[in-house]
Parts: sequence; structure tokens; C-alpha cells
Amino acid sequence: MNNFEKYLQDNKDKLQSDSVDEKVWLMIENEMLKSKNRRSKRFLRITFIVIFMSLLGCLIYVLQDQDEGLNEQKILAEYDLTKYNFEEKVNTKKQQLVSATVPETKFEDFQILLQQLEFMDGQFQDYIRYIEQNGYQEFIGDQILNFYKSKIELLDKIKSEIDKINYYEKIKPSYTEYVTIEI
Amino acid sequence: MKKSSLHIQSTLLLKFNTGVALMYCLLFAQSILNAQISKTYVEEISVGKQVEILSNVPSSIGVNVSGTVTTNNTKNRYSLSGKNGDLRLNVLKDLLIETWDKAMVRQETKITVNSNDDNDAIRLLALMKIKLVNGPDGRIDIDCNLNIDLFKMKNGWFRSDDCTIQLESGENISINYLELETKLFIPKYANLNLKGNKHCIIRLGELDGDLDVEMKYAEIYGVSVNNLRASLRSCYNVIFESVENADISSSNSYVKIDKANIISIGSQSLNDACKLANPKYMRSNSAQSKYKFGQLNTLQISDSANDEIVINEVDNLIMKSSNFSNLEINKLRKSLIADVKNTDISIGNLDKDFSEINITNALSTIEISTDKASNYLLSLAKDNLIEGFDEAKFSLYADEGLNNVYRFGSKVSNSTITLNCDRCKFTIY
Repeated sequence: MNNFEKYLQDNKDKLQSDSVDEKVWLMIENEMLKSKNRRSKRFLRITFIVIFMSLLGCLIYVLQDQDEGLNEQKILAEYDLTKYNFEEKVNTKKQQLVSATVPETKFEDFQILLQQLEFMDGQFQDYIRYIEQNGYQEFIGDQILNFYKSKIELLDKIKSEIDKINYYEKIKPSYTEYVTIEI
Repeated sequence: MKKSSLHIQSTLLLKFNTGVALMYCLLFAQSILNAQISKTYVEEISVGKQVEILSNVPSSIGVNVSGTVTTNNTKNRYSLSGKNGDLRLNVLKDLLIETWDKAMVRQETKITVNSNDDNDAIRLLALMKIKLVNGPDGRIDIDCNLNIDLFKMKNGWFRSDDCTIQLESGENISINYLELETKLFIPKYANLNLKGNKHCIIRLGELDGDLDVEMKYAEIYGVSVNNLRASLRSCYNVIFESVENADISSSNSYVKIDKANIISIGSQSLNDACKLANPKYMRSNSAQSKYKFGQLNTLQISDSANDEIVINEVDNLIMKSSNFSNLEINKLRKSLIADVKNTDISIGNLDKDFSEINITNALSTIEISTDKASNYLLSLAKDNLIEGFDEAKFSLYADEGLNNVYRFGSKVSNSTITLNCDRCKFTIY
């Protein structure tokens, strides 16, 4: 046994550490557990936020999609009918008729054409319902093409009939008040 | 050592080949499981001498879709695709109705199904059946979609297409794809009644019986029919070669008949299926339609608004009510009686032996081209504002108080033209 070994043997008791109080260990364990819990909570919170944000995003997308729904522009684009500028032509023709007037005595006869214009608007709603139920069926594209031709013809007809009525009214007045046709 | 290495190599090769073979077997089995299965249902029944056949059209199939529908269809197909564009329902829109001399009605419907579970497809085909029944009143109902009540499809963000066929019995069977094609054979003498409110194309052979159609968005191509009764909305091609008598009510449609005895327009109101939700929109029984007729004996227009009517030849024409419609006649043989408003009338060739033209109208243009050899009396109401009439070509025959009567031709004749049209343009030559 050398001197160093002898020294270790003699001071064995001194060199051994005192046992640590259990309370200290408990405190350390508690501290570690708290830290772990904090990490878990943070993870859960972040996960929750991510899920919540994703769901919110989905909800906004769905609501936006619902709000937009099907409309004339979407349908015309789907059938490649925007090139005909139907909406613009219809609006221009309607604009020309906004302030058009006819003698009151002729107004009731005229209602027939105005009702047909309303019917056509209702018809387009029928196309929308059909597409919602059955998707973009090809024949609807042909129908819409004919629909707009008919609508433009109808607006032209309304214009020419107004012109005709007012032309003869100047030559042979009926002496009644003029009323706006209200398109 | 060498022998053992070779043995290992051959064992490995054998195992690899077995694996490949097994994989092919699995793929083959999978392809068999997902294969389309077709079955053609045929039923033929004898019928009596009086038979009325009521049929829907192939596109009448009930559809309930919840989710995304994508469509990539052709004109002759009514098809629905799911969210990834996979075709789920494919119905041939053409309904071919052949007529024959046999006293038999025959239905042929081909069904093609594809399902994840082969047993489902087989079960569906086993449960489907034709229901041709000869009713006590000689009536036969045909369902082009057999006993299918509904095609249902659901899909969502996290859900692929879930397609189900609901049968009339209430049974639901899961499928991936359904295809339908129907063909009918009916006796020539049968009366046929067709209904449909989705786009379809009907091709009908020679029918000696009557045809009653209530259609929306349909195309009908027929050869000949005895009596035709049609209620049409947005039917852009309704074409017949010959019809004995026709009674047509329509809106926004195109009807062409080459030859007919009597045609009536707008005598009956449109059927409910052909109306819009708000009936105030359209009060007229015929509106915004285009009619093209070849040779007619009689045309009667009962209620027309903003129609366009073109006739090649007609003997007699009666217009009871017409507003804003246009009438163009190439040749008028006998008579025209019209009580209308805002209706332009053009007669390209009035037969020299015509009997009577009597028009009450307003705010319109009337053009009549007469035969130079004809003789007739022309009566015009004095208080009407009429433009374009060349009085110099006529000699005043009589002053009847309210009317001036002019004479054309040197011979005495019973032919008369009476015009009471205020604010009109009238040319006769």
C-alpha cells in the first residue's frame, strides 16, 4: 500500500459525502416536473392555436365560397361566353330604355314584353339551379347562348316598339300622359 | 462452396419470381374486383289494340348530390363527376324510340356498374328490374331508369366520393360508377306520352298514334305523328317531318314541322313543369318561340306573344290573339282571319283564288303580295292611320261610310281583303 492509498483508507469517512436531505430531492423533482409540464402546456397551446387557425381558415374559405355562390359572371366564364360581351350588351340596351316612355293607353299592352324580360331573368335563375344540382352540363352552354340572343332580340324589340308607338303618337296623338316603362 | 452459392442464388431468384407473380396476381384480382359489370335488361310484353305508353326519359333519374360536382360531359351524355373529376354517373341522353308493326312493347336498358365491392355490383344488378306492366286500361308505364329511385353522391374536404344507388324498395347499394342506356320499341299505333325536365334527346320513328310531350330543355326528332300535343319550355329543337294535327304551347323554343293538317298554337296553358315558379312572368301560352312550318292546311293561333312564325304554304289561318308576334307566310291559299295587336304580317304570295283576308290590328306592318291575275275588293277603315298604301293603284269601288272599298282586277269576285289597322304601315302589290 502506498502513501496515497493509505491516505484514502484513513480518511474514508471524511471523503464520503453526507446524504442529501429527501426534501431537497423532492424540491428538485418538483421543479423538473413543473418545467416538463410547462413545456407540455406550451406544446399543447401551440398545437391548439395551429388547429384553431386552420379551422378558422377553412371556415372563412367555406363561407366565402358560399357567399360567392354561382352567379352570371362565373357561369359565362365557365362556358367561355365572356367573349360575346353579353352582359355589357344587355346593360347598354337596358340603359337606353331606362328613361323610355310610352303613352299610358299603350302601357298595358307593353307589359307583355316587360314580363317576358322578367321571365328571362327567372329563366337564368333556373339555369343556376340546374348547374347547382347537376354541374356544368354542356347543353346549358348552348341554352345560355340562345338565351342571350333572345334577350338581346327582346330588348331590341322593346326599343323598336317604343319607337314605333312614339312615331305614330306624334302623327296621331292620343292625348294621354306618358309613363316610364321602368326596366 | 460454389454449389452452395448457386443454390442460394437460385433460391433467391425463385423467391423473387414468386413475389412478382404474387404481385401480378394481386393486381389482377384488384382489377377484377374493380371491373365494370354490365347487364342488359330486356323485357317485351304483348299489348292490345288500344295502348297508351307513358314514359320518362333517361335523364329523369333522381339525383341527390352533396358536395363538389365536376362535369366533363359530352352533349349526348348526362353525366356527373365527383370532386376529382372521376365519372360517377353517365346516362346516355338519347332515347331512341323505334316503332314497329308488332303488338308488343319492348324495353332494352343496359346498366354498367363499378363498385369497390364486386358483390355490391352483382347485388345491384340482381335487384334491378324492368317493370313493364300491361294495365287494365291499356296503359303501360315505362321507367327508363328501371327501379332506381335516386343516385346519391356525397363528398367533402376529407372525404372522397361516396356514391349510392337508392332503389325504389329503399335499399341502398354503394357503387363507384353507374351507366345507363335505354332503347324502346313500341307499336306504330300506340299513343305515347313523354315527360322530362332535364336535357334529353328523343328520336322517334313513324308513329300512327298520338304523341303527348311535356318537356323542358329537350330535343325531339320525330318522323310522323298523328296528333301531337306539346308543352315545351326552352326546347330548341322539336322537329317533325309530318303531323296530322298539332296543339303546341311553348316558351322560348324552336318547333319545325314540315307538313301538317291542322296546327294550333297556344290553345292550352303550359304544363306546370314548363312554368317558372312565378306564373306572373308569363301569361301567354306561347311566347318567345320560333315556329317554322312547311305545308299546312290550317293554322290557328289562340294565344301568342312575341313569337316568330314562318310558314311556307298554308290554306287557312286564324289568329285569335297575338301580341308583338311576327308572322311570315310565303304562300297563302285561301283565308286569313286575324284579330291581333302589334303583330307584323307578311304574305309573300297570295293565291289568286283566295277567299278572304280580314285583319284587325294596330301598330304593325302588313305586307301582301297578290297575284296580278287576281280580282278582289279591298276595304280600309277610314279613321285609321295607315301609311304606305298606294291608293293610285286601285279604283274606289264604294264609300261605305266607315270604310272605303277599292277594287282590284276587272272581273267580279268574292275575294275580299278587309283591313282595320290603326297606326300601321300597309303595302299591297
